[in-house]
Amino acid sequence: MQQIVAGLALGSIYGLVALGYNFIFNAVGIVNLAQGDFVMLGGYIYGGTLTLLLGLPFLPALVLTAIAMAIFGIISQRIVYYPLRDAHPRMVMLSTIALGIFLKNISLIAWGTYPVSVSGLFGQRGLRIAGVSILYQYIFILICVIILLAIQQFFFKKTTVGKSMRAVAQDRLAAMLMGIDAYKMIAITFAYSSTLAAIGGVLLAPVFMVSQVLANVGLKGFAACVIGGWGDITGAVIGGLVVGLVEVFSASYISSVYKDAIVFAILIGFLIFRPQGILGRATEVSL
Amino acid sequence: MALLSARQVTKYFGGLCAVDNLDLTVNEGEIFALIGPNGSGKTTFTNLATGMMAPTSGHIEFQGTFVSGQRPHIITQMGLVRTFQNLRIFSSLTVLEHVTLGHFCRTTTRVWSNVLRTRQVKEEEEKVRARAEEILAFVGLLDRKDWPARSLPYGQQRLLEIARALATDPRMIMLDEPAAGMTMQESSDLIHLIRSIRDRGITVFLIDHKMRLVMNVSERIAVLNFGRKIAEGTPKEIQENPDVIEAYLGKGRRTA
Amino acid sequence: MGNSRLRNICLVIIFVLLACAEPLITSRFYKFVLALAVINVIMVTGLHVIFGLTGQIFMGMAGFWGIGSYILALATTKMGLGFWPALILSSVGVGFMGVVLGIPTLRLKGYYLSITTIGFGEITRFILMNWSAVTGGVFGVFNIPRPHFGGFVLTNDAHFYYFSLALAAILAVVAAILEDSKYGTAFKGVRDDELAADAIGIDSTGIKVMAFVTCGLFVGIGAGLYSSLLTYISPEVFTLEESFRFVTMVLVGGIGFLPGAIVGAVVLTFLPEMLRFLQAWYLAIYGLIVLGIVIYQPGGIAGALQGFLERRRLARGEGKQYGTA
Repeated sequence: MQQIVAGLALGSIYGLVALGYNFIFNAVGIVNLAQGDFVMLGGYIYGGTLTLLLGLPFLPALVLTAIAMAIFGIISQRIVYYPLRDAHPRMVMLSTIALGIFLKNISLIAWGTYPVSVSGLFGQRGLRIAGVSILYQYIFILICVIILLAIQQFFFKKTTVGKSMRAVAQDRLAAMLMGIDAYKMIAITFAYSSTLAAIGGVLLAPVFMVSQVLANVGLKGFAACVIGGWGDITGAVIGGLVVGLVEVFSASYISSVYKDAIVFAILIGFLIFRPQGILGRATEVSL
Repeated sequence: MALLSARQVTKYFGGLCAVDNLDLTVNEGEIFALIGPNGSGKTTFTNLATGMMAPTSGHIEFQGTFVSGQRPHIITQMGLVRTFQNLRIFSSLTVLEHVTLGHFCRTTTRVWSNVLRTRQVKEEEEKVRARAEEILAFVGLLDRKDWPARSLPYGQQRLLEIARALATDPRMIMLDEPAAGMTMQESSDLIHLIRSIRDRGITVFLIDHKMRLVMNVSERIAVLNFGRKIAEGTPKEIQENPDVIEAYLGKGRRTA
Repeated sequence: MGNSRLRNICLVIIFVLLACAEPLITSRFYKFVLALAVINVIMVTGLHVIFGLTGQIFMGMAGFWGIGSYILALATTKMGLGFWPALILSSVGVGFMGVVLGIPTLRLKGYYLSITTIGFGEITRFILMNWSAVTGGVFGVFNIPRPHFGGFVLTNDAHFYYFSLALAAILAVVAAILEDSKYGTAFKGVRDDELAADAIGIDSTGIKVMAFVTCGLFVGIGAGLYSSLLTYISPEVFTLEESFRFVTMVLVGGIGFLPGAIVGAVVLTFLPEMLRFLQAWYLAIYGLIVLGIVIYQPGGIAGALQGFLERRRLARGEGKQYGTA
């Protein structure tokens, strides 16, 4: 039970990161390999600067982090994607990796080499049911993610910006012909997916400590995308939950040393044997 | 004798039917054309026949062997080669390298002898080079052989794709809109080229909607509309077929 | 052929310069770094085949490097093999890894391939670290022998350097011959347009596996020399950052231009050591530099060189031979 809740909570964060990958992938057909570093940066801005240094309470800190990361998303879109929009995707891939390396090391300079610990709203307190204890933070994460997904659903179904973003994601050229400013929508997409990463970072900060290791979440998110099937919104969330559960269970039943290796092995297995993901849409993804 | 035959071939993309229960036979040594409005399933059929896609149902035979669902390079090695509607030129290779690479699948020397540069390798390279030059002369690009292919004008890139395909020693070549983007002069030269390809003993499967080209050069024509075959026959029969006139001219697509 | 002549001239110049450099460097530490650079040259020559020529972004170099190093280390210290058989074993072993990893993964494209190879590298590191019974775990392997010719052992660093340099030159020649052969054209064809390559009867998966195995054979030799140079190896060296550093070497030099990759290898071996005083700033700047290259100079050193030669020819009034260069 503890493990299930912990796995689902971690998994829902991986799902958020996976959504970030998917929105960008659907909009411009590239994978932002710095997504995990965005999560780390979100964690640092929230944990290292806003709460620890400035002493802001949770909610303002969360909102400020999200805004900062949205702006950051637009800037990085301008640097990493826009100049290379007509180049081979290979080059965009390399530029996002380079951005990731830059972010990791700039964060070392800005926030130091020691992990920043963030106590979060609930500290280490937990809910006790029938002898097992479940951290409030995990429950809180789950609630937050569910609310966020509901807002997202509303946003894409009801608002003009949301509908335009979906149109660009489905067919960029057709959307442009219909008078949608595709490049603006792409910028907004980057902003949104870095906001998702930031929220992931904020929510994870109390669970793990904030350090460069947090960037590994990017990899888990990638695994979630592959397991759920690329480009698929529901798939991303399900994939995230699967990865979260696998991680928690392999840490407690096999070995915590090997938990990342096991996630990797499952990822590779999926890539090779079932590249379309568990939901199994027959669309041929040519990444 | 039938070289390529398609039986009840159907291809769906999601809910959309691109090719609908298509039966088609191409005989050895003929110039066969598949025509139809844009989006009628011509290119999809080429993709199915050359292994770039698998049909939803039905099958395609080449020389009596199933090719549908086979991998593309195997189909080419069997003697069925294609060109692309949207040019696919190797951006870093020269004109000559394109054609020698086209012959790669017919060469036999192994990688180790290539590293050691044995006598067989040198002889093979000489033979491949001579053959590539012969093909380049055939399509009229020999004087451009050392050009980077990407700096050729558009029409010549199309010729280069044909040369590259011919270098694979095919028995049948599928030309997907070879005249697209060509000048008037180039496309009337293309008519001669298509005839002389056939005279080399290679069956030609032509896909186009330029009526002048198709009517001039082909011996038999099949017409697709919405993935379905609506007519088949000689150019004269096709021109007089009311369904074809309806599908083609009725919708304001006046291609003379 | 203009391009391969330019390449050969550059290769000769680079190897002559490398041969002259050893006596000019006085610091013992930088002599050691130079030897490391030459070992990296060997490994980057392998990466050049799969990434530069064939266009596959292989992010698991650290995995190949780690496996090769451990094969030589364990074969000499635990199995009692001599240096030469062990070096061959590490080359063949890593080449074999190329088959094992390549056949299932090389059908994957772009990101999938890269992520799979990242995974391979990381899993390799996990295994090297945690399978202590065989690998010695985090403590690594000690007392790895130096190469020998009969009774003459290359304990002298200068001797070792020239020995590595000779091997690097031989392997560069092999790579150049391969590049000029029909297989080289096929590698480039697959890199430029895989589907078009398939359409003219080339088994592009097969070609990629072949390039991958070649890469493995080369990296295995470099990795074996690495173990032998250090005489001590431990698993924490073989990280993802290292894999990316090798990819960057190719990128700095210009994708597909072997002398460029070699210069990239030398520069990126010295740079971290020389900029050590910058500490974390170094890697941040390094990330920025890579970003800058990708965006503003995607042709790398080779692109700059070709642009320079082109401008000079224009200035001399020879004009362009054809439309665009």
